Amino acid sequence: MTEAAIHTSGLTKYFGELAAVDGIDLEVKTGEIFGFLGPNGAGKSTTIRLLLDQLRPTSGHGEVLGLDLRERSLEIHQQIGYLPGDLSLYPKLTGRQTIDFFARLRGGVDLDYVEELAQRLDADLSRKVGDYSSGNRQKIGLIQAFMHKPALLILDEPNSGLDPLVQQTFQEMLREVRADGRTVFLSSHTLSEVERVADRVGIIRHGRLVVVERVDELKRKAIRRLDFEYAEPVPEGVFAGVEGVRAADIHGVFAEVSYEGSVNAVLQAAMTHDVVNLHSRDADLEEIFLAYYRDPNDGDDPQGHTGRPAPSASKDGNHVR
Amino acid sequence: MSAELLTQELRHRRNGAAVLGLVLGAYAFFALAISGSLSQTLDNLTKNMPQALKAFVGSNVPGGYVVGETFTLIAPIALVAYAVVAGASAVAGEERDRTMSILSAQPVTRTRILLAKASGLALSLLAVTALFWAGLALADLAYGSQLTSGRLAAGTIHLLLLGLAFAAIALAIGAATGRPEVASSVAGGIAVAAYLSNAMLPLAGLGRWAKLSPWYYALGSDPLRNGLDLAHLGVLAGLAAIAIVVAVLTFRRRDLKG
Repeated sequence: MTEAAIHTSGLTKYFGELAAVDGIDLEVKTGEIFGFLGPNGAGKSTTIRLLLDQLRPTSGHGEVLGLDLRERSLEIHQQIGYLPGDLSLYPKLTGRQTIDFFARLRGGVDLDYVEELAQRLDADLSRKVGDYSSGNRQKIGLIQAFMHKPALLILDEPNSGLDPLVQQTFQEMLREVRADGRTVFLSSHTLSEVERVADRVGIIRHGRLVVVERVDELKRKAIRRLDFEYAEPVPEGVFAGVEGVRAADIHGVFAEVSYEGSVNAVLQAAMTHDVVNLHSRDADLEEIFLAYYRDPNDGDDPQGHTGRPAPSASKDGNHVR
Repeated sequence: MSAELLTQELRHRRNGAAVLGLVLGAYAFFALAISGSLSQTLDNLTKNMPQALKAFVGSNVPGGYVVGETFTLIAPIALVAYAVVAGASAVAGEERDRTMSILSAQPVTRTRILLAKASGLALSLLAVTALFWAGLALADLAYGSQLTSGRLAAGTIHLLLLGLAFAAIALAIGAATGRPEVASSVAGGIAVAAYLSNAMLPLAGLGRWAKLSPWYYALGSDPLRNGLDLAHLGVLAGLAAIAIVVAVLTFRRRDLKG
């Protein structure tokens, strides 16, 4: 299989006057894990439902696994596994009955593999779906998506309701799918959920695909942070004009510095006073993510994070609180 | 694979249909059982009424008032109410419950989903009417009646087709809109308006217009007296078929909810 797993050109969906998806050109390569990121309401689920032929595009077209998504949706559905965002199942069926139902709709699956998936995710299949916690319901949904070893997994907010341990198992499962040469399309509104597994991410905002970038490239560009603790309160201008520094918050003996690129200039500036402690934080893709989808018009991002530095801030813009 | 959809649909409908069928069956059993003794009294009461009023009251059918009420009022209203509610939620209910998203991503076409829903609906209506008929047939066996089991079956089949027609109309509105509450209120409204026009227009001397009502084709030929009226059954079946075609065409075209 040489064609892209997902290809869309100019995919657009209007709901009335509102462009929920606005001219998306997307290319997901076969065998990669692609993270599809955006805040809630950005158009992630709408895009996915267009790919699944549940919604009909206003304009534009696309192929999934080389098959036209309007003309050949049945064949597409045979080869994909899908986990809806905000999953609902039949409350009166047990977990096992639910799995059996979807397995039979697919003409049968390997039941040993279902068992293996249930064990790995620690899923309870015995009770009725209506009695499950949202986490266990999500596990049923995941088993349903994985159980026929589809060529393409389309997972809409798969992490919701999963505890951290299960999230880890889930990420292992995604890597195994990739090792198998299969493709994963993973949507999320938090970057941390996908940065550990995704090869590339696309960021969608207000229905538009803002950027598609390799995760390691994003990480290289990412803003990092250093927190300094000084012996004595330091003046506010310590990091002013220092190369690469995006922002410096100084309160008394504490200084939190965000920077990109080389750490040397930051350290040199910091060492002009007596440092007693130093704490480094990992590259935070969240900040890039926020920067990409912060609306330049209203200056406010939809997630309510404020006061975070944006890479687009002016070079000498050390803002000091 | 479509068989699995139908199985799931039947499992979903099983309890509701069984309860309604058993209640109607039990009711039919007792209604027919007491009709013999009651009919004399009621015949005296209604014998001087005009024909149209007798038809409205339901006393001019063989078996008398009680059987008349059963076939022209109780059973059809219960059946049509069930048909409308079940039909309205057949497709659109999956959207209201937000299960359509995962269901429609399976390797089944929308047409298959809709036809499985329609078949499940038809089979549950068949089961309900079969239980209703079984109650009548048992009473007939135990106590005897002025009606043959063939005539009872004919009356039941007319009711079944009436139920199928309204179920299909409700299904079509639900399939077109994705909104079960719209489907049940519109289809229910049509059913009530059609019932009233079939019952009232003949009283006003406008009997011809009653032929626009599906109820006319269920009850107008007096199947308890005259047996099956294939032309009338054909009208109801045709109505159901048209509604299903509309349902398929509209359901295939639109955006799914949920």
